[in-house]
Amino acid sequence: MAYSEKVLDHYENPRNVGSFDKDDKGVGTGMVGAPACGDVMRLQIKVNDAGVIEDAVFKTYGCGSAIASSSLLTEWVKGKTLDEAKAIKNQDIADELALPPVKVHCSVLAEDAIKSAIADYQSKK
Amino acid sequence: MALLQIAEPGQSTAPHQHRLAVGIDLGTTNSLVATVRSGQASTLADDQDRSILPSVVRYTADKEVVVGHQAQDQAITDPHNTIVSVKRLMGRAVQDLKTLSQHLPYQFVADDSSVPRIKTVAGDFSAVEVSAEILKTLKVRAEKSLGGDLVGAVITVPAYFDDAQRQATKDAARLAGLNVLRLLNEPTAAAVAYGLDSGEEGVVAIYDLGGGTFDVSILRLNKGVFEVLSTGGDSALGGDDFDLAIAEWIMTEAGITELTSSLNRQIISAACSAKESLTELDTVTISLDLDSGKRQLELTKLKFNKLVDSLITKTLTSCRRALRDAGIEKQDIKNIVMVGGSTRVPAVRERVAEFFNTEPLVNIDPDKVVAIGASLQADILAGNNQDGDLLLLDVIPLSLGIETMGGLSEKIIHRNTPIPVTRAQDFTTYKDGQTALAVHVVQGERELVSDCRSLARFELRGIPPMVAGAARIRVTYQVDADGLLSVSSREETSGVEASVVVKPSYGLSDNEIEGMLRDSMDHAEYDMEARKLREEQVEADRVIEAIDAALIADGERLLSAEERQQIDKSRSRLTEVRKAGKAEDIKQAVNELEKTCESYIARRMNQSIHDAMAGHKIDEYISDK
Amino acid sequence: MSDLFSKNYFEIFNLPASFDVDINLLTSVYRNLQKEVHPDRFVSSGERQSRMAVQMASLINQAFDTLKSPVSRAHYLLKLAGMDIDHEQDTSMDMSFLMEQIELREQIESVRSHSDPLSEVDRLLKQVKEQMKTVMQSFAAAYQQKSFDNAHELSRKMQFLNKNIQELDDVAVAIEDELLD
Repeated sequence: MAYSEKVLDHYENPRNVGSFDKDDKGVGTGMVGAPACGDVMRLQIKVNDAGVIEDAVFKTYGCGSAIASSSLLTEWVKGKTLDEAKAIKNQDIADELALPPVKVHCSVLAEDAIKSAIADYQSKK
Repeated sequence: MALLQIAEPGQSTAPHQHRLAVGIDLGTTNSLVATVRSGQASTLADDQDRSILPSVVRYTADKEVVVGHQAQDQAITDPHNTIVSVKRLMGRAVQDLKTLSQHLPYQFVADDSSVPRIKTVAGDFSAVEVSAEILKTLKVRAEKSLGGDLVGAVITVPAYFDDAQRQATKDAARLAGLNVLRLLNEPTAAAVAYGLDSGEEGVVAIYDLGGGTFDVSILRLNKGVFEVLSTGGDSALGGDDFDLAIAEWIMTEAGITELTSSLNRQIISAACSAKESLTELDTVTISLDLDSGKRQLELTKLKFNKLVDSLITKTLTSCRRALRDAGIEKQDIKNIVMVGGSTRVPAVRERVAEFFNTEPLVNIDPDKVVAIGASLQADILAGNNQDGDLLLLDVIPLSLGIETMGGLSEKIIHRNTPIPVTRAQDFTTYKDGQTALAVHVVQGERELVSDCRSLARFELRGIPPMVAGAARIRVTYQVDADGLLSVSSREETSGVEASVVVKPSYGLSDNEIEGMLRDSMDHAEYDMEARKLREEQVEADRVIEAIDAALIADGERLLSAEERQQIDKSRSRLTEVRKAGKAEDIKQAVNELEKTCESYIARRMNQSIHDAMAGHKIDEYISDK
Repeated sequence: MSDLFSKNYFEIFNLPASFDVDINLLTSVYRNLQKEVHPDRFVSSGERQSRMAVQMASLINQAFDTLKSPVSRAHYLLKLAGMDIDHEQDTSMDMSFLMEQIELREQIESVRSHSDPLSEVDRLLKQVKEQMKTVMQSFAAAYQQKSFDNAHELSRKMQFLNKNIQELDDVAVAIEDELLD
């Protein structure tokens, strides 16, 4: 069985790598980390006045599955309302990327990152 | 030998008897056998006073097997039936040969077996069988010169050998009729020979460049304890590659494009002697006998050094990794011990000296040091040297992992973990009612399973049907002191021992080995029953002797009268059965006695730990004051 | 005399359960214990005895490995204190620490474009090791005061810093290898 091709694609060609100004009122920044493997993930969203996520970027230091999880998530949240984005579950990410059980925690990291970014944005209001 | 070697002197039941045990260096190019006699370790020579046995095996049309110098002489004229450097093929799979075999003149049999077999006039042989011929020759030599049967042998392997290569070596020994006391890593063996000789303490590096393998080990020597801190290397890099580099140069210079097997051997043999001459000389003339006539080439030392430079660099890269894994700085290394014939190449010595900033030690014959070290350990393991305060603490050279869904390797035991080691891992089912689980064990450092070496596949069957995720299947991996892996498993919630079928990916099965044993002997002469009986009797004697010594040492102190009675009963039953002479019965009685003694044995071990700790406190107290 | 398998790792070495461990003492007790139980002592003493020796020697190796490294020692101490941390999935952490981590990773990533990459690696290593030392001291204090949640957070930081050190070591080795080729 090959390493899921989707994981490899998101790993080799990660989408939306980058950063926004974290002090911008329209930006929410989520930071999470997984001590066991030393992965760190920063996920940022740009939200418009209608409460829709216009753009999303990330920077992840970690294994292929963690990078792929955050890359996929930034794709997904674009154009979603905050409530819709909040509803994304780590299992959805794991299923889409066909993550093996030992790598499911990478999708947990991504789910927590988006939640933390939304909370940061809302705290600035 | 005592269960624990704490029997008081003079109280042993059996008179002290020297057990014949040897150390064997099963090398790529040469092999040696050594033993300890009257406290002195030395290599054993053949009837022409030669210690070195070239690792060359020739099969002839009339099914004769020729090993050593005589076979080597035929390597050029009969390349297809003369197997050299067979160690490079140990534990290798058919698909590995593609990368290895560009320069191998043999024809391999293509069949469904995963173990490659070499086609010869006398039949098809696996690397294990060819190696067994070398071991048999050394066994015969040892028994002849020592005048008795061997109780066992310590056989050395490159530290960087993976599980499949180690298993193949052990199988070859079994096929040769040798009882393996221990597989010992070559650099560790060299460290023993060197350390026991010099009594040195501190951190040493062993640089071992053999014919076909390179190993580096970093060890800490402390009061007879040899603790391997890290090991690294390349199980497919050695002096042979130096020869190949020269051979390629020869072909370019002489404009040779077409190679026959025999011409290939001629060129490699010319390359090898050129390399050896350049140890002393600055220039060497290489003479070739080609179809187009005679041809002479000149090779300078300078040019040779350039040819092998990148190979030496590769070894130093491994050295740096080993240092880092050990957490040791270069300047903390007290000495570098050079092992293996290829360390005679001056460029190797110079660059190693430059790298470590210390002159490496070459005072022990680099060809013999491994066999000598192995014989010292064999002597102790056989129980001849009760006072010998020697303990080897080795490590696993390559990480062990399992394949998880998605083709990733999840590491379970990391490289350079001290052995023996046991690790357990819990699995669960991912479907309702799932009753089986497939596990694939791999070895290597890479993240993708396809980049690692496949060791074994097995299935856990008989898991009671439950909802997904409810089962707790505990898989236990154990690497023993030989560096060999075994796997067991159990479903925890129901206590069902799931059956494990370990199918070695590249090894021989027990049945295949048994079949080879049968084939290797004359059918009329081969008596499986007799052999089994002999083995069981030896085992029975061993166990009885061990129990007796233990009982004398502390039977009164650690056993109740009732327990003692039980043990005595099992013991006398075994003595009776042993006399009656039925292998199956003896085996059962041995098992019975061991079972009766199990809690006593555990008590003794805990007691000895307790005593060691108590002694320790006093030591600390004294040294503190 | 109690059974080896019923002891915790500190008890095996007769050491108090504390973050401060005398590594020399630990190592010397380790060697003495292995002298008693190592399977080499029982090569011809029968299968059961060998098996027991392998099990005991494995346990002692495991205990030694765990206590030798400060990171795994801290983790083990928290488990002894009753914290269930083997399967934790909590990803939230001190925000400024994570920011620092991202910055540090960025620096490690760009180290190769530095004019003198090896000394840059050395500089970063020194910085991380310094930080590790401070965190370790805080952990020792927190653990002693039985402030386990605080100690847990510190042990998580140690895991990250340990990863940084490993990464820097890897980079250094890779750069050295390239220089040598």
